[in-house]
Amino acid sequence: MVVKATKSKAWAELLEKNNWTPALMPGAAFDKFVDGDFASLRAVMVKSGMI
Amino acid sequence: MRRDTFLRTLAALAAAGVLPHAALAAGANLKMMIPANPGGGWDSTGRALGKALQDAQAAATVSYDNKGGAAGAIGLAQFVNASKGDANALMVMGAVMLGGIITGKPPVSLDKATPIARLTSEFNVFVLPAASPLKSMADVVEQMKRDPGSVKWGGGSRGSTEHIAAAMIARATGVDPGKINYVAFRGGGEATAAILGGNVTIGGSGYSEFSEYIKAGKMRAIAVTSDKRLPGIGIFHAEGAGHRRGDRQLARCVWRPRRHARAAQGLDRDGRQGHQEQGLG
Repeated sequence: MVVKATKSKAWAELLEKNNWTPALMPGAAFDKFVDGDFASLRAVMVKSGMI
Repeated sequence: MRRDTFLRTLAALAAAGVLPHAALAAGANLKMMIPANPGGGWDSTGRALGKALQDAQAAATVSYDNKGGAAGAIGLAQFVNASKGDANALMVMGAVMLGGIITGKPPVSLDKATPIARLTSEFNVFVLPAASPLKSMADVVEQMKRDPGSVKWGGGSRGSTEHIAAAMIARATGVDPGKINYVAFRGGGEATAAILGGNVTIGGSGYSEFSEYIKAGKMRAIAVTSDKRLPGIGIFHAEGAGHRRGDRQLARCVWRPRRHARAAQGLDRDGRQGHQEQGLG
C-alpha cells in the first residue's frame, strides 16, 4: 500500500516540490537498514562522547 | 548492560519482520501518527504520504495526529499503546528518532513497531542567520575554540543527526564535545524560527527544510554533510571522526504498530517500474 502510494502522481509532485530524494526501501531490506543504522549511529555517538 | 539492551532491540525488530502479512483493506480510513509538531520535515512527509495514499486510492481518508517531543518518543509511545492491533494505523519517523532512543532511552522503543518502508533521504545542512557576523564554518569553529558555550547550535532533539554532526565537528577540531551549547527544538518549524530570529548562532537540519530560506537569502548555508557539492555551498565533513554517512542519514520512514506485518511486501515487485523516470529527478 505504501509502495503503491509512492508510485502515485501526488507523491512524485510532492517529492519535487519539497526537494526530497526518493529512497524507497520496503520490506526485509529496510528491516536490515534500521538495524545497521542503529548500530552505526550508536558507534558514532560513542566516538563523539555523546553517550 | 547498555549493550545488552541494544542487542535486544535489534532482535525484536527482526522478530517483528517475520509476523504474518496483513494487507490493509482498500479504501481504508487511515490514522497517521506524526511524532513531531506541525511545520517540520516529519509533518510534511506524513501529510505528503497521506495525500499519496489517497491519490493511489489506497486510503479513503487519512487523519493526522501531531505529537511532538523527546525526539518522537512521546508520539511513538502513544502510537504503540493506542494503536495496538490497528491495521489502519501508520507512523512516519526519521533517523532522529533512532538517535533519540539511544540518548534518551525512552520506556517505549521501536521494537513495538514494525518497519514498513523507507521513503526519502537527505543530508544535513548547516546555516547561519542572514545577519550573522560569521561567514563560514571555519569562523564558527574559531569562535567555538575560544569559547565553546558562546556558539549556540540550534536543531532537532538531542541525538538528532545535526546534534551528532555538531559534536563531531567539535571533536574533530579539538573542542570537548561535552562543552558544546546545543539547543534542541521540538520540530523543524521551531528551529527555523530561532534561526530566522537570530536566536541561535548556527542551525542545522535536513536540506529540504531550509532550502526555501536559503534560496530567499534568509539563511546562509555554510556546510552540508554530503559527498556531493551543492551549488554555492561548501562541503564540510566532520571526517576526523569518520562521519561519512552522507545522504543516508536523514532517511524518513513509515512504521506501523507491531503485530501487523507490512502491507508493502509483494507490492514492491509488481510496482517497481512505476513513475521512476517521471518527475522524480
